[in-house]
Amino acid sequence: MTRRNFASRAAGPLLLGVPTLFLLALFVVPLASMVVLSFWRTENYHIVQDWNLGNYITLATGGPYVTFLIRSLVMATVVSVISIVIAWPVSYAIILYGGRYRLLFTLAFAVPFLTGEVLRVIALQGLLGPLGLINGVLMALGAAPLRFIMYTNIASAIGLVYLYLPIVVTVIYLSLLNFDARLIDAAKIFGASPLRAFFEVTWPLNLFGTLIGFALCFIPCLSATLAPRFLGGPNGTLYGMAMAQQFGESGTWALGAAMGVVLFLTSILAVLAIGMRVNLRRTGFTGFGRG
Amino acid sequence: MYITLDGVSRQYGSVWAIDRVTMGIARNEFVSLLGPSGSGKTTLLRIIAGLERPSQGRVLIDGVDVTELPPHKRGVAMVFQEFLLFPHRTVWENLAFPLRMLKLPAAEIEERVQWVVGILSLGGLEKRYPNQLSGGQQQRVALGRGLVGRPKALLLDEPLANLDRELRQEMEVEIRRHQTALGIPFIYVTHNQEEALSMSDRIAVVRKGRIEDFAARTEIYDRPKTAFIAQFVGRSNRFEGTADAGGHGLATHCGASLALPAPVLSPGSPALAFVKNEKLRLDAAGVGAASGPNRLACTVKDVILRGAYADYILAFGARELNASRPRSERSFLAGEAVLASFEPGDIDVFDVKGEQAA
Amino acid sequence: MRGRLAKAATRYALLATLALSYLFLYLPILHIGLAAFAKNANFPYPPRWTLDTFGRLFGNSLYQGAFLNSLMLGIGAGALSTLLAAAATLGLIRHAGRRTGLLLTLFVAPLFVAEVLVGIASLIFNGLFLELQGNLVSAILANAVHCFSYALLIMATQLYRYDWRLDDAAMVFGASPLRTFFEVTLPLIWPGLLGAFIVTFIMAFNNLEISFYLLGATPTLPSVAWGALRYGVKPELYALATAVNLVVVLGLGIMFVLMFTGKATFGHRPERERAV
Repeated sequence: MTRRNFASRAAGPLLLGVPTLFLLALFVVPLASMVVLSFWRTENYHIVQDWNLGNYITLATGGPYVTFLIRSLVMATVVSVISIVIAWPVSYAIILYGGRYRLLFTLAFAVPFLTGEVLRVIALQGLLGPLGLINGVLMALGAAPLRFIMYTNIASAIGLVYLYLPIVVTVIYLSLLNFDARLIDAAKIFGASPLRAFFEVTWPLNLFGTLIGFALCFIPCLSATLAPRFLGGPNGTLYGMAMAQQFGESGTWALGAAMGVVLFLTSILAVLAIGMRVNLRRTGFTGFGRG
Repeated sequence: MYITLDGVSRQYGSVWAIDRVTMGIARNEFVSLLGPSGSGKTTLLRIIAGLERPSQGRVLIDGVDVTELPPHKRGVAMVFQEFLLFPHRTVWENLAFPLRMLKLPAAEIEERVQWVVGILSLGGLEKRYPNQLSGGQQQRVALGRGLVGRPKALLLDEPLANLDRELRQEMEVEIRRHQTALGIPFIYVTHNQEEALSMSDRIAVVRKGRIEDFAARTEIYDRPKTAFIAQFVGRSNRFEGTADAGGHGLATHCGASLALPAPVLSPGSPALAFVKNEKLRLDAAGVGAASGPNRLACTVKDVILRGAYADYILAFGARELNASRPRSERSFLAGEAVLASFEPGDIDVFDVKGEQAA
Repeated sequence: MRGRLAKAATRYALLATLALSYLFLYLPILHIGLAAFAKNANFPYPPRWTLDTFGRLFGNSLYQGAFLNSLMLGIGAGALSTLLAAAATLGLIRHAGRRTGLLLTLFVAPLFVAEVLVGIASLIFNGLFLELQGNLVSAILANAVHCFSYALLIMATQLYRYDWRLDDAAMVFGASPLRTFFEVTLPLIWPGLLGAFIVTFIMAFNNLEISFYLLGATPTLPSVAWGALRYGVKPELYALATAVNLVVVLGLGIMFVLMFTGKATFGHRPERERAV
């Protein structure tokens, strides 16, 4: 075997093998160890290797946890739907009217996303908090402050939309960018009105992108820890926030691991449920190869 | 006329992409818009379709002014160069799309799709998605989608450009057959003169946004109206020269003397002449008069075999001439001395502005 | 006539939504930006300008140390994830064959797992099974997992458009695979690499949900900010957020200029557009 031959044969396994090992070691194995831990228990801040289902029984029956989960599911669904409803016209407007500055418009949406959650929560408190912009303006005008945006679930929802709208916009924008707009021409030639053409061609062919956007908003919202903690009120505890507490103040790691498994499975089930219900071929899904 | 363009112009910025085009197309006609890329032929088609609005002028279809109508209200259909089949719809659904837009009852949709599947031999492919089809199959579906709604006219935008040569020739015959059978006008945009010549009743040669000539295909080929058409349609030998004192002869810069069928040039004026490759007759040197008007003594430089005929590259002094002869005639070898000759009637002469002189 | 009216109405509705969305995103940022430069930080309208807040921020040794740690975290995780993602993207396009689907699913899976889960899962694995204390290295590795998928997506948009026949051409003319990479491939794909590095650097620099569980006692800017936030918002936090915002805008600005002047078009396909 010549050297060049060897180099080109080794390239594939090397290029693909190293990232695969990396993800197996630092992503798959840690997740598996979380599953293992969820079947053990914690006693006085110590892990006891004693296989049992106690954590899951606590989660299924123990008072607030079911409420937290349902509240998280409702919150994540509402936030994702609102984000998509806003993101569609926004991305469409960028595509239609952005011209050569499209990329700039889209990057402008990405700036807040890249600033990090902590700093954005700080900015949101500047907007919504008791001393924030909105209430400051209201009080300066002599009006009463808005109570429903201070430390409530509504404040959490606004915060989560603020946090995840940028990624939904980016995903739907990219989907529209790869969409062959001449298909709209084709639909119109064959008698579809502009509105009809939108629902026959544009919407279904970008449904896959929209679903990805939904998932990329839904999943982090479900596990949100910061926004409910600093924007939500006493009735605003979400599942992710409760889970984080198991690893902090309460030190019940095993229960936290079980909550992690629940969150993980819920996310996967949500993605699969959406994925199974739609026929991928009818959503503009272009397969894994070149689009 | 069934379709009329009346002084149609289209301006992009300060450029006139379409410049005062007026033409009429009859109900039964197959018309080609033939021109080099960038000549404005596709823009013209998109204006007829309603995808672009003319800056000036009117478009009439079946006596109705449709200039202000959006594409979906014009009742025409189109076959696109890249097919533009809906990727999220099966073949059957793609074919049914125009019928659903017409709000036809389900039974009639079924029947019409079956009809178009039949005439285009798409049987068995109904459930496939476009990316599961070959290029030729996609082409037939695109054509079927254009025909299924029985449109007022079918517009075809270089529909064969993405197919290989053999498939293209097959489709040419098929497209022409459907046009004859349906009796609706087909307007066919192409830069390929063979496609235009093989299918059309009439050809409009488009150049820089204007119609250079709009005439029957034989007219366009045999009696080109302008130097541009003579050069663009068919393959010819081009001569530049000066008219002689009587105006019925041309002395070319390359040293040939051409005898024209009639005194058509003003004496001493510069002129252009074209002789189609297949009009150049070849004889072995030494047969008949050696040289004279329309008789050029040449040497064969190379022979290119095309199957039914052969292309000869000839050296005439310092320049090259091209001749195309059927293989049934006597063939020549490279290096042989030959006499190339042609009839006065085979010369297309133009004055130097490119206007036809004859 | 009705059609044109509807078209105009659609246009204004779309543009209004766009404008309102930008307002929603940037109002808080501008508000705290003003507050950071104002003596009356709580309601800086009109602002009484001062740079004292920034002085206190930059003079604070806790923030200084945290900044350096965040910088190392960003560079480490950004470089690692960009290199791995470049290898993975090249491998997927050139060598994966029938395994493409499976591998791609693995490679983008971190996108579909919440950051906080990556954080606690790594914490459990490191702490419980390897019995390692958290430090900057473990935080870099865990952040690289999440950044990897983003880097992969950014590079895929660039590399899918790359014409691999250019590589074949180079090899036909005698270039070795390595030579081909450095002479042909790299010069054409570097905007993708740079874009991926900038984005992943910024993500890791600002990350809390993963880093929080893996840093041990190492402070970074987000964790210090989180600690301070628990005791209420202070003007220093506004200044910190504003400083980071400015850096992010600067980074994306550089990326934009490079992509705009360079050959990179970020998935732009002009032939698919139509006259609107």
